[in-house]
Parts: sequence; structure tokens; C-alpha cells
Amino acid sequence: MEEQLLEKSMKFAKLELEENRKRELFTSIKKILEWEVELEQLNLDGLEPMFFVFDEQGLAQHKDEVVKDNTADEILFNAKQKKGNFFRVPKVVTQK
Amino acid sequence: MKIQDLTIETAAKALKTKQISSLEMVQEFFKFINSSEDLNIFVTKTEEQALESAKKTDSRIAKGEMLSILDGIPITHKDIFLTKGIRTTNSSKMLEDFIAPYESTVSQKLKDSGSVMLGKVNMDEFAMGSGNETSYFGPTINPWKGKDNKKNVPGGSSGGSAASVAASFALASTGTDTGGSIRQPASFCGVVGIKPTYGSCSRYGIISFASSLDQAGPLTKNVTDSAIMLGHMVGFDPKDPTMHKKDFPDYTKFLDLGVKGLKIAYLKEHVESKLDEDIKNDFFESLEIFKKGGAEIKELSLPEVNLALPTYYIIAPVEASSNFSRFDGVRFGCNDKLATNIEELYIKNRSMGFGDEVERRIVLGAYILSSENYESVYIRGAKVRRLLSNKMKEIFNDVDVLVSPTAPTTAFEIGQKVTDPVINYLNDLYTVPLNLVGLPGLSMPTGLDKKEMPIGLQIIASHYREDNIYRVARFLEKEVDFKEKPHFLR
Repeated sequence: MEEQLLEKSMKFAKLELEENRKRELFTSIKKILEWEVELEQLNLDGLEPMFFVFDEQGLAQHKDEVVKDNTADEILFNAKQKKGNFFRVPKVVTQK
Repeated sequence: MKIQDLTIETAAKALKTKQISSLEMVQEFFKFINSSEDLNIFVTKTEEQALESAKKTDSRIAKGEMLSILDGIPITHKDIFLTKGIRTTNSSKMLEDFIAPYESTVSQKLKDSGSVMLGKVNMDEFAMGSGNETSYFGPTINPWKGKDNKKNVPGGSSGGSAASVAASFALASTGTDTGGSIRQPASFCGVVGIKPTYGSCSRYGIISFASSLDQAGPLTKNVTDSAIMLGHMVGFDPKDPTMHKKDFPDYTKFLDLGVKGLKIAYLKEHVESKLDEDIKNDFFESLEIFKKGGAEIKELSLPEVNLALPTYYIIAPVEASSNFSRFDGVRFGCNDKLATNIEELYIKNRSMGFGDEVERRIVLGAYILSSENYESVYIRGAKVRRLLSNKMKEIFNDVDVLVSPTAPTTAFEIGQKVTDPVINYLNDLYTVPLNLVGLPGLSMPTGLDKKEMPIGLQIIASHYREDNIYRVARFLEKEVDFKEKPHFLR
């Protein structure tokens, strides 16, 4: 079950490894998961999950204005495959 | 004037009184860097730009228009800060040739203060590691060799930053800290490093690891320089939506207030855990010094503090796996031109660009975020985070400052391959709790262990109470008078 889910997680993460490296990776992840088991014993009733350090109230919001920041040339500079003002990728829709 | 003896404070004075020009100072630094044993500190040296900006400083000095105390001060940046037009690699193959299209707020602020960037320094790949050994460019070597003359790690992930300051390759450096990545290398290299309160330094232009934990801070030779540097790095930035709109004080004005009347506590769990004997003894010596200075010392117990590390390894990988989805190789990064469809392109690019530790954490994060584990692991971890936050708040209702060792050991030898990642993660035992709840913490050198490697002490305060940290740190620094130099400089 754990193994299947790890395979699936690797697909979600869009990674592909050779079999022996994949084994090593899974073994190490299982060690981390074993170590995290101690958290399962805790009574956490009544506690709200915490996702941010500070509550959202009090954080500043910036004005909803259009700001000219990067230009197309700057944005495209690091792309390995481009055509005109576009990033270039292989076919997105393929026939099965 | 020996540049190795300079601090920000003394260098600024020398520049202002024209004992040395900024250009001469930068030239001296590069002469030293280029003629020294290679510690693999720099990923990219920016000598040309540094000389140009030194000339600008000199013309400002001539006109009596220095921008700040940092004008002309040579610094390095961790290679995680985007620096416009300059390669920014995050020490990863993924970004090996990435030229930053814009400037991070922190590096921009330091530029506006007149500081001179000498280069970008090495780190653990994507800031994941505590020994600098995960860097695609190979590990940085700690300038401290110890009695046995070994090659030691500088700590991580800001290992190049800490080493550049310890080796006197710069007067200060920037770092980032997600679980201890400023404080632990500061401790390993015998320098001062502070992670301020979450939300003090803008995260804009810093390559994200775990957004709710990441925070930038300076690494310096001493406490006064730390207060100076931090003052020029903090400040509200509308580009980082997790910041408070608030004013930050001049931290240098707290340096000489002493510890009299302060309540300083430590946790029983921290000194009972697996801790080197020398570090433990050194820690208790520091407590005695505080007591003599008029502070009240308290021993507290917080058994939950030991939950912080496993909780961190839920929260951090989850946020990383989500943040790192941007690395698809299309807009930047590794790109396999032979891929025949988009799915294959993503997989090939990512598998080619990421190293082992990064892959481990991304897959772990994806595993925890799966529908099977989301509630039972992730939400549970987020609840433990709340529990820790509540407990820490209770502690700071009662005390001003909490102290602990920075790390359970001093720097270890390069290449000690450990197959169980959990053993490596224990390096961050004392530093991780602060990131989970956003507290500020500073590490400073307090002595050497039997191997003659530096020991660090961590000083922690409540949110936005860096004033208390600097009071305690400067007081201890004066009393301890740590003057040891790394072997590299002897």
C-alpha cells in the first residue's frame, strides 16, 4: 500500500528514477515516515491547524494597480526553447 | 591595514577617514581570495561589477555623500538571492545557467546602502541540507580544520555564506534559514548569524523552499556587525504578502544595555538530549555569565519541543513539493529538447535537474499531500505546529529570552556518508522549532571544543523582540571575548 502510494507520489512529482536509485529513495522516505509515527499518539483535539506564522488579519494588502515589471525579453531570456515571444514545448495534445 | 582584521564597523571608519579607498579595499579582498587555498566558497565571483561599484563609493566619499555605514563594505550573497543580470543557481544543476531577470528585495536594499557584492556563494542545493554537501558544485570547505587537520563541512544550507565570513573573504554575507540554515553554519564556522522574526526581511526574489518558514538574515564576524547588517535588510515590502507594515528599530542602540533584570530561560529537554559534552559544559558556562551580569536564570520544561523536528519534515516537504512545481524546464532550467510530449518533457527536465535530497523531499511532500495522507499526516502536522506555537507563546509570557545550544555537535568531517537521512536532520534539533512558530534566533560563537572546532550558542526571543537578542548577545560577546581565528587564517 505504502509502496504503491510512493510510486503514485513520484508520478505526481513528475520524477523518474532508475530502479536502484528509486529503491534508495523509497527506503529513505520510509525511514522518515517511521520517525513521524510518534506524532500519531498525540491528542490534538481542539487545535486549529496552523499554516502561517501570523494570522492573515493585520497583514498589509497592496494596491490593485498595474505595474510594469519585467519585459517579454527578460522573461524569455532563460528559456531554452522559444519562438518569437513564446515559450516552445512539444505537443500538448497527443493521440492515444 | 590587514583586511582579515577588519569588521564592518572598522572598515566603515577606514573608508570614511580615507585610510583606504573603497577600490583599494575591494582589490585587496580579491587579491586575498584569488591567492588563497580554494575552499570552494564562490559559485560566481563578480569582480568586475564589484570594482565598478567600489569606484562609485569612492566618488560618494569624495563628495561626503556616503549612503550608509555599509557604503563600500564588501559582502557576499547566498546563491539563492536573485541578482539581476547575474547567474543565480541555488547550487543546483536545474539553475546552472539561470540569469536572474530581477533583483531580490534584500539584495536591492543592501545595494541601495552602498555595499559591494563580491560574488554569489555556495549552499546546499535548493537550501536542503546541513553540510553543504548536496551542492551541485561540490561542498564548501570549512575554514576551521580542527586539531586533526581534517576537511570539515561549513554547515548548511548557508555554508558558503558562513565560510566566506569566517575566511575573511567578505565582511558579511546574506543567508536564508528555513530550519536552521543561517544559525547552524554560523555555529560551525564560528561566526554570528541571525534569523529574524518571520516577516522581517522580504522573501521577494529569494528562491522559495518552504514559504511559511523561509526567512533571510545576515552572517557577520561579530554581534555589532550583525545588528548593522540586519538593520539594512529588514523592512516592509508590498511584494511579500506575508509581511507586517511596521517600523523596525535601529538594532545597534540595544547593544550595550546589558542583561541586568532580564529573565533568561533554557529548556531541560535541550540539555538532556544527545548533546556533545563540550557543548553542554560551554552552554552552562554561558548561563553563569548571564547570572553574574544580573539576569535571572530559569530552567523550564517543554517536552513538546522534541515534536518540532518530525513536524518540520511534514510541513517543509509539503510546501517545497508545491513550490517546486514551477521547475518544469520550460521557462528556465534544464530542458530536454528530445522530449516528444509535454508530460515527458516535464519528467525529463525535473529528473535531470534535481539532486537526490531535493527529489527525496519533493516525493515525500507529494506523498503527504496525497488524499490518503492529507488529513492524517499533513493536517495533523499543522495542528502540532499550532500546539508548539501556543506553548512557545506561554513561555514568552513569562521570560524575555530563551537560550540553547545552536547544534548538538560541532562541524563534522566532509564525506561521512549517512544512509539514514533522519540522522542528518538531527543537526537542526534546536533550530527548527523557531521556524515553525516564526521566532527570531541568533547563533554566536562562545568557545571551542576538544577538536578545536567552534561551538555556537542560540539566543531566542519573542516575535519582533530582536532588541532582547542583541542585548544578550553583545553582553555575552564582551564577557566571552572569543578571539580564536580559523586555521585557514593562522
